[in-house]
Amino acid sequence: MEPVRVAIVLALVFVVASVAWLRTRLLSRAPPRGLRIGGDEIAGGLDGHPLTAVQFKSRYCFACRETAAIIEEATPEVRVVQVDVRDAPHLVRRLNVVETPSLALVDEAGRVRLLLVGNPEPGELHLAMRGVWRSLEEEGAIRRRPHPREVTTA
Amino acid sequence: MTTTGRIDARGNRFSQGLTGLLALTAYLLDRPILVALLAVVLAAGAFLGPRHHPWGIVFARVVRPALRLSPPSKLKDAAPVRFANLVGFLFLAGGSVLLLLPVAWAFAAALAWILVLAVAALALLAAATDVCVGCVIYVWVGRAFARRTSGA
Repeated sequence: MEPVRVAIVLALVFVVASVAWLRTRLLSRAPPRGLRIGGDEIAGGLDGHPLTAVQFKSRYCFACRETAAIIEEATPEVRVVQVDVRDAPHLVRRLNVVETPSLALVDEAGRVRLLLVGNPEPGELHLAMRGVWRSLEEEGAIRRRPHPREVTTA
Repeated sequence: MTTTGRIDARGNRFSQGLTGLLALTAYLLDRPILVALLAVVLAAGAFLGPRHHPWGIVFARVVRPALRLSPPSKLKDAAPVRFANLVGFLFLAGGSVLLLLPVAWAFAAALAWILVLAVAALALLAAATDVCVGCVIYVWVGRAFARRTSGA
């Protein structure tokens, strides 16, 4: 092991660690335990909806419109809220939204159950939502009943 | 709409971290063959998809059960990650060629190791922060391209 190489590696690791640390400092703003979205941060609040799908979109995200259609068609029981990333920079930072569409499935208490980054494929979206739905059922947040999309997707 | 599947974000971070550490090791120990092997690994991920990424397989079969990780809570679209793998493969393949083939250029080795270290730095950064630079570039390019073609 040449000493020069060791020095370069150490320098690289130091730089990467510094960038990562800096980024964490910039992002965290009294972060609550666990990822949360406050009811007051979403238009219409979260009460009364066991599951809310918060979709982050941006101006040039042409896939976002189709995503919204997929979600609403997939699970009519889940309320969909669209948030433009320009309007909610604090949420974008907290949830580390780097791509749109990004979809956050949030329970009534504001806990982010699942964060789907990028374009969803309908089959996978159903699967993911079903998983979260089942957790909510197990916790008693919603009465046990067949998920609207219990039909198995091919 | 491209249907490319989803990957566990933690699996991606693990793959990136392992790639980064191995790239650094290759540089420290001056092992061009390790660079070439790493290039093949990334090629598998880029061309065959996330299910065939060797580190992804290691994560799913070994790490996740061993650490008893809970089901994934963050799923990433695979397309940008594959693009990032492709860029990594190109860098490492280029580096391997420069190192393994007798190239009549004094700075061939230096350029090769610069490419390797670039991959290492970006991979480790992605492992640490879950921000994959290649993925972000992919999204930017996609947006710019879409904007131009649809005239929005």
